[in-house]
Amino acid sequence: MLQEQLDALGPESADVLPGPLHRPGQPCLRCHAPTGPASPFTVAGTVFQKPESDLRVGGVEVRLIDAAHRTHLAYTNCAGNFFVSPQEFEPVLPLWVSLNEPRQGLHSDMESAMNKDGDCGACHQGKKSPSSAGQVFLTEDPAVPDPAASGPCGGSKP
Amino acid sequence: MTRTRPLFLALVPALVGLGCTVENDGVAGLHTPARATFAQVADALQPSCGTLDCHGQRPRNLRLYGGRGMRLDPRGNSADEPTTDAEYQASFLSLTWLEPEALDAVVASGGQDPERLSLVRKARGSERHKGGTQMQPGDALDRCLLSWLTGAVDADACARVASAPRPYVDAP
Repeated sequence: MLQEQLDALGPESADVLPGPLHRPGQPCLRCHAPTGPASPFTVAGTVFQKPESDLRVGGVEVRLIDAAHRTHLAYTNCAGNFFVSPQEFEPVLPLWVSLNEPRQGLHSDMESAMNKDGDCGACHQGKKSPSSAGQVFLTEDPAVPDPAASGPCGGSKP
Repeated sequence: MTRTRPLFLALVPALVGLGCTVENDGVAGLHTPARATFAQVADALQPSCGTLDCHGQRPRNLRLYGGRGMRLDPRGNSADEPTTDAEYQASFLSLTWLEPEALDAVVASGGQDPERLSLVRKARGSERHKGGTQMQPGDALDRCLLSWLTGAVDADACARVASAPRPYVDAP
């Protein structure tokens, strides 16, 4: 079953090497799990500018609050990806998530908690559907202009 | 009963869509908690049990539908509209058909010994549960669910869980 799920993700993009910038929007923990083929993450995902936009945003502060009331901050890189290793933070579930984008002054709170794991893309798969809340986004306001630059590539605090 | 259950559950969306109301009482003469007050319970279960990463998935035996979880209408999505009555009904049927005989016994006894239900054992963490412990005896979710089993739902407890605020944390 796991191999089928991995195969369903498709091949790597030809112009992006495997690494921090690859496979934006996909369920990261499908591979980046203790039993998976890649280094494990406890929380990971991708932040887009708007619900239907392909534009991904770097430099977004991802605030994670776990059931033990501990906070961990992660930052998206220029692909919009962020990821947290077990050495950095191993949350006690459920986990609450908020996004802050300081350059645009945008803030968004996830309405429900993550109960099973920290794999954002597992529930936020592409477009909205009966089994998906759609991609993770910063704002639904069409009046908010897209940022001029995608943000820093390092995935650190801007 | 077990052999007919998959067919029955497969027909649930069609029956709901046609406006039919099917409850255990009508099918097998078994007691169930009240459908009339289930929406309050379902709303309380939604944040901790009914999310897309837990029981908001079709492969689960216990399927919970909701506005921020799995949608019944194939045109719906998990981000926009509130839970519909058809979704409450589908969740009610899924929950009450998990262990109909055990549920019958618990309800018939006025809610005595609720841990006869795997639903309660798993949620309390007294039986292995991939989602861990979601409620403790006497907490708001526990009171909500168990009061529904007794026939007098604790609306305040249910509402408290359904609208639970995110944890407050000092900035690091």
